[in-house]
Amino acid sequence: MHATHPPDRERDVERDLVDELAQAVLQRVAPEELVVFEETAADYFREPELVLSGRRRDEAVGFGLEMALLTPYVLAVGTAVVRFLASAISEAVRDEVRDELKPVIAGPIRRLFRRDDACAAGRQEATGLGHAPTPGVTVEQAREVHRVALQQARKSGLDDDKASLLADAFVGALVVKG
Amino acid sequence: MCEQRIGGDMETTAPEPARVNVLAFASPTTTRYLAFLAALLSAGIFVGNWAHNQTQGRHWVRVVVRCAAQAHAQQARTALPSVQAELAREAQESKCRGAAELRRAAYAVGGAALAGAGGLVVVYLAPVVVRRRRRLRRLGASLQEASDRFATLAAQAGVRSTPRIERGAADQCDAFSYGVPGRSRVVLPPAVVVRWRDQWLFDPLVRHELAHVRHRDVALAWLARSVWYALAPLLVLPVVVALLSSDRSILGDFLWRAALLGLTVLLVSAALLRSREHDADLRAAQIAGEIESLTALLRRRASQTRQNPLRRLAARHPTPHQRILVLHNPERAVAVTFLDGLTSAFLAGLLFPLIASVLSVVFAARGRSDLGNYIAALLAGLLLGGSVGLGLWRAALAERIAGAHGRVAPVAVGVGIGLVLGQLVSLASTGSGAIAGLDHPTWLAVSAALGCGATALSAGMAQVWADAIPRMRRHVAMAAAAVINALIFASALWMATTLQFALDNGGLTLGRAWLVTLLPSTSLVTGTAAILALSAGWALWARTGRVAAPAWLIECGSPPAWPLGGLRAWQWALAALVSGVVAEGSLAVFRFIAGPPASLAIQAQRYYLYIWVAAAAGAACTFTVCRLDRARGAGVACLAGPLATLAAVAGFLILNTAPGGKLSARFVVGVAQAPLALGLLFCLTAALAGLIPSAAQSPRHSGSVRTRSSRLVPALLLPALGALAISALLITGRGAVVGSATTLLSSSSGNSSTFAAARSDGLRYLNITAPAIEAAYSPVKRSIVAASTAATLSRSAELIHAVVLPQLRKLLQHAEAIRPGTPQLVAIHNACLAAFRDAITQYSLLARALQHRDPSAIARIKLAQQAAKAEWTTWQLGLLRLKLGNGIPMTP
Repeated sequence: MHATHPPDRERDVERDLVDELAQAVLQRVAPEELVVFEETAADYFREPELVLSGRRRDEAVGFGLEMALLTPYVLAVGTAVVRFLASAISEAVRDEVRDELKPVIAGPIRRLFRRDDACAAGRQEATGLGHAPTPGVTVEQAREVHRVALQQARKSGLDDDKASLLADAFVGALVVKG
Repeated sequence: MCEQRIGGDMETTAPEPARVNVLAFASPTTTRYLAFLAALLSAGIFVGNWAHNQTQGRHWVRVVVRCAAQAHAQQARTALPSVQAELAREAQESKCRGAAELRRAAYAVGGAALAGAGGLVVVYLAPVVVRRRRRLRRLGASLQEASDRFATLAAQAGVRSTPRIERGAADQCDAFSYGVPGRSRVVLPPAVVVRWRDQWLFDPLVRHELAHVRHRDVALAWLARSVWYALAPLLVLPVVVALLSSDRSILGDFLWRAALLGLTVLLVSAALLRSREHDADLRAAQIAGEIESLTALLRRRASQTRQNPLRRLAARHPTPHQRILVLHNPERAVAVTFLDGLTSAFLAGLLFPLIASVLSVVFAARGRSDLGNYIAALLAGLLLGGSVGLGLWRAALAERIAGAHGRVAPVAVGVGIGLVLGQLVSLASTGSGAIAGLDHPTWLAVSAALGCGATALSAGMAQVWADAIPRMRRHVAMAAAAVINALIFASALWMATTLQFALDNGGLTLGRAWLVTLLPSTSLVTGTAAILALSAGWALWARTGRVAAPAWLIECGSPPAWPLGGLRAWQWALAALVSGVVAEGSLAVFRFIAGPPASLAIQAQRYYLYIWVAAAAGAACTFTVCRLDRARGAGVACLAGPLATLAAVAGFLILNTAPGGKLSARFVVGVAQAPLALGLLFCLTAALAGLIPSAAQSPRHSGSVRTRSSRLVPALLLPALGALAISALLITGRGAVVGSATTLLSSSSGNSSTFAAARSDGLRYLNITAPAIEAAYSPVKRSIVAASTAATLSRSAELIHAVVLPQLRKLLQHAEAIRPGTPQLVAIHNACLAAFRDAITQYSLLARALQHRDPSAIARIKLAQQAAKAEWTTWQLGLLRLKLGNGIPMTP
């Protein structure tokens, strides 16, 4: 999932976006997990594979069942969605120069998030992209977001029902034009 | 909870089935844990022994060789006969090397102590490591309400002190508990903590963990794990040293045992944890007053569980499906299985030889090496009785309410196999070259048979006591269960071990001698037989019909009528009487046909035959009641069997006393003790008859016999035929079973009392008469010393005339007045009289020689002195022969 690790500055930007999007999604699907979101995100980004695998231990003097947080899956899907949105906004996906512009396109991406339009607008002006087009993804882009989210959710280990729920939530967290 | 069990349909008029409170009775898994810990610690004994051999081995060998040489040299200088000389040599050798042996025992105990201490260290360090590695943390202010909810649930759960609640990192998916004993902590996955409002998720899961805390599962589980963590490196040490050194003699033998021990640790600890999970579920449901929330939680996750058979063996949790079944039917949790019997007995078999060996060495210095086996049997018996026995008793009670009926045969077979395997695998035999410490491993079948029999006996007693439970308080019932089962299994283990040893070392000859001499003199066996008889008698008296189940056994629902069944008192009493009468009657017929015994040797053989037949009467009765009542028979036989034996004893006493034989309380006890003790062994074996399945096994069905007069015929015929068959076999095969007459005694003819009376006379002479003579001789010796140290020869002569000779004559007069009861005793006593007469002659001559200054008398004085000394030695040897023969002079 994380084949490459972008430089720290870009990771911070990407992480901020992912965090923001994930919180928006969690607000819809599992608002009770927001109270531990910071720590969970820290654990996840420290060791993503470990957290997702869940260390299925057969605990001695335990209960014997598996109850995993949804947050790590949301973060994993959120990462994929943010990257997709970045590629959708920027025309040159594989251009390394464009990778360096990621902090610049954070604002436009943020404007796509349904719950954080005011902040996104403020950042947009700060980055000098105040005259960007109307925020929102197209319907086709929304479908693509759904597909990417669903694919990533399944890949991360969620069953079909939960993966579908999550994908819907991600689309629901974005502004869709039309 | 009961309403929900029947689907919540409150409009039906069907009576609510009672829900059994399986947690009301002590859990056998606690004892199983202790047995597990004991087995691990006993492996430390092996490590200690190994360390001693590595560091002190050469010194120990030198001491042993030196002591043996000294003892042999001393033996060569004595004039004792061979047997006595051998005994004396052995005693001297043991005393000589006592210090070295004690040091060896200290190393062994030190090994176990090291494993235990290491385990304690790990117990206290492990929580720190766990907390750090798993990144556990407190809930914090943001989750204060979750903490409050946890505290509320903890208060409801009845835990002594509220454990601290923590949560894991994002990767944690299951709850668990950990911590040092007394300071437990419950760790919840963050996914559960944040959903503390969900009473169908948070509450049942937390209650389950709190149940673990309340049951002390945290302490037991972590202690067992910690001891293994401490022991494993110690077990690696011999391997490393062997590989680095040239001595690899024990490497192969040790490796496979250690590997099996490791596998045992894995499987047994997993099995124990699985059992405790059911208890925790039931406690959680009990606290909640309902099972639905826990059941729903388990159902939600049932699809997650992927189990293949091999992984299931090592799984620490039962499957959700199994847990749901137990929640709905708690009696399922108390079933004792083949594996339960196998693992418990395996652990007992592992630790018994190790503990016995070190204790035997410790007590050898005091001449009581036999105490090693005793104490090891008591310890292993307590653990085995507390796990298998207690489990069977708990199951008997639960099944009465649930209307179920478990099978005992698989458990018994598991115990038998487990004992054998445990002895085979025990580290005690490492490097010995012998399988399970025996030259003839086939004798391990003795352990298997007695282990099976003990289990059958325990199960039978469980049913008998279950009949009387409505009259008992819970704690009294549990205490009785613990004591009775401990005695049953301890006796069985001790008998198996010592009989195996006797058979392995001396074949059938030593084995049958052990059965009639050592077995009856063992207080463990006779005490157990007495306690079992009394407890069975009380339970049979206390059973009462038309009562409800005790309230403490019911969790909810209306207490049902307590089911009863089984034989009526007259049935088993009749079986006992018939068995005893027929057995002794067979002997009487034999005596009539064979005529009076031609020699004391034949009389001795008949006496031992009587012991066997009287004991076999108990076996016939046991077999009968077990066949008539499969469930309770073995328990009833604990009373009926001894009664049958006593009936045979009574017959013997009547036949012995009627023609004019002496009868005393001591005599009665003497002739009853041996067959009663042997009878317990037979009872254990005959109880296996109750394991043979029949069409109707349920305690409810096996005895609706109150109105069936047809039971009279089997109660009469079966014991009669059984006693007749066994007696006939013993009588016709007495040479092989009891032993040839010529091997039992030194032959002598002449008129004598019965053999038992002869033994009694001999013991009286040995224990009372001889000490009295020696006590009376002491002042004579002091006078002799005074005379020999007198200032002048004249004074010596005066003292001899005035003091020594009168004392000797008076002593002789008293000794001549003694009338020993048998010719052999007369011969022994005559040596004492001859010694006194020679002493009188000696001192008379001495006094005259001193008075008249006559040196020519010195030669005659010396002759008289030597004669007196020889006769005195002869008398002492006679006493020794009496002691060896337990009242009958034995000829080596």
